[in-house]
Amino acid sequence: MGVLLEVEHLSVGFAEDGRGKNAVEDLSFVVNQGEILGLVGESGSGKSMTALTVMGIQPENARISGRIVFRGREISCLSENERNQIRGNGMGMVFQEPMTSLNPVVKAGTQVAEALKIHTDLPAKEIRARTLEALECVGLSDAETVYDQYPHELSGGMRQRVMLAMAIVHMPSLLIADEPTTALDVLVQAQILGLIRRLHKERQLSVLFISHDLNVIRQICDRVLVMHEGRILEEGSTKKIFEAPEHAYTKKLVGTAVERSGDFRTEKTVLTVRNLNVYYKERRLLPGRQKKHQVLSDISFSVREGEIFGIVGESGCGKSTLARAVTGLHRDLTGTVSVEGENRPQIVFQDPFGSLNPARKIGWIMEEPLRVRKIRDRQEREHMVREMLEDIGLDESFAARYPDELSGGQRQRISIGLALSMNPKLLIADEPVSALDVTIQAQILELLLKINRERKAAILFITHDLGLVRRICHQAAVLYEGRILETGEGRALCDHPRTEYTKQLLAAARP
Amino acid sequence: MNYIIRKIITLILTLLLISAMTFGAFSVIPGDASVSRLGTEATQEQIDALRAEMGLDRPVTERYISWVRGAVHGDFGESLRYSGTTVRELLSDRLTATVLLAVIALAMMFVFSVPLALLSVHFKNHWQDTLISQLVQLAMAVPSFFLGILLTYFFGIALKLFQPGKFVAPSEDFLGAVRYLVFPAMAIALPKGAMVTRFIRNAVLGEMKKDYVRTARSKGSSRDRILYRHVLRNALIPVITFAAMIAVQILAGSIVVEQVFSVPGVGRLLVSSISSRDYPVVQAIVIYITAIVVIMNFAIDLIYQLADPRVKGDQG
Amino acid sequence: MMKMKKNWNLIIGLSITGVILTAAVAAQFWTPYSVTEMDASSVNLAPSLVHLMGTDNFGRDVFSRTLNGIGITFLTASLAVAIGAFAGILLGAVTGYYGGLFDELVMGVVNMILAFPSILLALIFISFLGVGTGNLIAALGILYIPPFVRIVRSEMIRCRDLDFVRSARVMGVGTGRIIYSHILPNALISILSTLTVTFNNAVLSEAGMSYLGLGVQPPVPSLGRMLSEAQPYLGINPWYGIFPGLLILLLILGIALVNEGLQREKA
Repeated sequence: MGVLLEVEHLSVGFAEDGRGKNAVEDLSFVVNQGEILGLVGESGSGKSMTALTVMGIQPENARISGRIVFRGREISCLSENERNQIRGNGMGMVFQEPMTSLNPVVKAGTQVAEALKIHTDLPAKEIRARTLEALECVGLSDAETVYDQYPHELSGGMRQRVMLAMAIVHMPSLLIADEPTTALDVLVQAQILGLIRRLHKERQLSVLFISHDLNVIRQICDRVLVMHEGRILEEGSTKKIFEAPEHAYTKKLVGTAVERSGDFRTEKTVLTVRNLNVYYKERRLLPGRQKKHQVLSDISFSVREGEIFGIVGESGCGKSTLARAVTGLHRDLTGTVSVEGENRPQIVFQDPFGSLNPARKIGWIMEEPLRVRKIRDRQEREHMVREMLEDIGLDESFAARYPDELSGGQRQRISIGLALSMNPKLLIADEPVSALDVTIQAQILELLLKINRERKAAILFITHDLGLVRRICHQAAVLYEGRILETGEGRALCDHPRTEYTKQLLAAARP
Repeated sequence: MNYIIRKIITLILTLLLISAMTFGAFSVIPGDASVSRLGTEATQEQIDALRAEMGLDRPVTERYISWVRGAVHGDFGESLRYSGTTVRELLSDRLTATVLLAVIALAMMFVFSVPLALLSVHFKNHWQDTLISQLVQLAMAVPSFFLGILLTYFFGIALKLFQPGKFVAPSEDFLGAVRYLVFPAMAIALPKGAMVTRFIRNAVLGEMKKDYVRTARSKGSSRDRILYRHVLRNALIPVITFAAMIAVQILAGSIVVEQVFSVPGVGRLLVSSISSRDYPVVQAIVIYITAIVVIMNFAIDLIYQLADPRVKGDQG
Repeated sequence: MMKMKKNWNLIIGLSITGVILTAAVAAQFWTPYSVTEMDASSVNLAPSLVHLMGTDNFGRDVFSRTLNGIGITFLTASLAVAIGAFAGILLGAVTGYYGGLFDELVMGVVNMILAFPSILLALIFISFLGVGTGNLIAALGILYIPPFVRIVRSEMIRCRDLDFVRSARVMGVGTGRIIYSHILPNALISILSTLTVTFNNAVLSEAGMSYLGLGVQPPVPSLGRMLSEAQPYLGINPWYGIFPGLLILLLILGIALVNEGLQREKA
């Protein structure tokens, strides 16, 4: 087992960066033949930039220093042409977003075959045969059909398989996978991971696996490198990193498991949902042909004051629709949704980037709920905004900033603050931390728990992560294709799942 | 097939709608062609007599229907101004000049715009690109009729390369007509061509930033290969749409430039017919232009259908 | 929101436009020579210190007429754009937010109008309404409603399903306020950009129509008409034709640079 890739003192910087910090700082590591090396870090850690630089496709204005040695040959000083010969040949790469990473107007098969067309002189028939073989190898049994399909005709999981086929069709020794499963559903993620593991075994493929998702890293990697702000902070076998981390940052990363501290529920009920069926009308012009889809079927559950109730499911199961139905955003339904108290339930959304108005300052945004509450005095509103900012852990100077100046975690705090301004008895949190970095996730969860504790606010916590459910929720319900499969007490549901689907979700959450 | 039939029906309906609207609008206006022919001194009797003779005293709907009947056979009636000449005769003379002008302008435009745009892309971020961009900016700001006047002065009067106002009909001297039309074509092609150059440049550069280009690079694809096999295929779609829009503007919009160079084309005819209230002519020209617009839009749709597989999916 | 790099396009564009506008306004109150007075002894003179841009075939000072004329251009274009913007933004906001059959109808009409070259439509309008400055402004105003409808509508559609709008609705913010105070500010730069582009189109249309004799009528001075008057005398006095056109070019360039600057800010 030799060394396949050697990176020595690699630094990547950008001239325009006023911060003076490099994206990648003095990085040195090796990838051994036959291993799966994980590169884990949060956003801004430089892991993606490292991957792009190894491939040689970093942005044009990047300044590089250091050495990259591949198969014993220094490649960092090669010309563009020579580098091209290695790409798609010795090294292949898979990216995060399969939809945008594939050319929308070229057939899938043609795209997979491209590496062969570039690097070999094989006749067309042979190329097609090998392409079909690669497609089958990645689990697309109907290879002939997929060959002629366009990316938009394939599902997310299928597209990622096509990407993998594309990267390995010419038998590279090294596969660089940059967040290959992040954009996929939990169960599909598991399948793709299994596929990568299989390719690794069957084709002796070494893998440099990059991700911010610790679960995923833990499931698939032999060795792990922890990156933070462009540097490698710690290195070791997967077992060691996760069970006995040394560096403070690693400990924080690995050990962040926020848990509910106590039970603050009362006997009162704040939300009762009975026999809820929710429909979606397609936006069609001609009235006769409007198709109605049923998104939720016969949903019944209730939430007590101070309770954290989990709704567990993958995308498409109807959880967001449920959130909208409960808040009154979506009216096309039958059944009952009864909310206690005059204050409407408020909602915190998943994507911190769409959830705040980019054209308005934070102060204005936070004053809106107060204006709705008819608080006319400006001074009073400004005072309340300052108080709220403090409550959610932010400095009062934030009121003068625009949303695009804030980080994801800060924006989530603002969203929570906005929701609280209406003094709701029930807060709906729709995947509130999935889009955040691991260490920030912990902070936001702590904030939510604090709100639950101090205000006795009930939280309808929507997530796909059963691990979170186990630690945080009093009660939970598993949602699949618009129906509730099972309900139960948080911990019990995770320890003793009854349905097959729940078991699969559990397996995906815990390696 | 279904789709094509729907589009043809749309075309016919649009033509009917537009022609009805213009017809109706013209009949509402006080003072028709009879007045403009006889002049302001005419007596009411003379006007009435002429109107009866011209058939202008019949009710609107009746006149419209007979117009449509005629139009279907290519008979757009007689010019009210040039009595004895059918609208069709008038138009066909003018059409050759206008279409010839448009074709030359389009050809000029593409011969210069596309290579210039690709050069700009090739030299991205270097001085050549900046220079081209500034020139394009300047060219886009020039009003085409002002450019026409400048060209008339420089090439016509100063350099005596052509005689402004002395246009020879293509049927008599084709080459001479083309030589003359080069100059008005330049006046049209420069500002519009600049727009096309910039559009192509932006479309191509925009595509190059996309993720799939990164993927192609990761396979070892050379820059040229990426450009021609990946980027252009995607960029071509909006570019063709834009070019078609420009073509419509050129075909139907060379009105002012024709005036500058005294080219006896459809545009000039339109202006003079409006002034003299020669409505049958105006009607016919409006129909001609509407037809071009709708057909062009149809062509654009068709191109989208064929070129972009995502659209195909939606239709099915 | 403001980047560190200076936006040269914006600065230069605004400067040029500002200078022209100031000169145009000033010229409404005072010009070196009378705009209409003819002087048979000074016919078709080349530019000199006495007449900065020369004289026309009636002996009128070109400089004075040009500066004065650009005032009308500004006025016509501004009013037309204002009409289009006001009606267009209103219509676009409503039809974009609510959608439905109304939206389909509106967009059908809008797309129809946008498909035709605007000079043609302006000509047809004028042929119904008759010539005159007021009619021209009305005709152009109506023609410029569609671009604003389109841009505001597209912003509405983009934003109405975004989370921050959902947030506002859940909080209980009224629909009117959501449309105008929440979503519309996001369209600000796009609207400004459309204003500049439409303004330039209006300048071109007014000049073109006046050139054809169907725009602003005498005795109101118009740069377009000056160009058509100058044409027969190109051999004798080319300056008469060049200066008015140059000024139009400069104005359009200035506004176009402002637009460029706006596009940079958006990015």
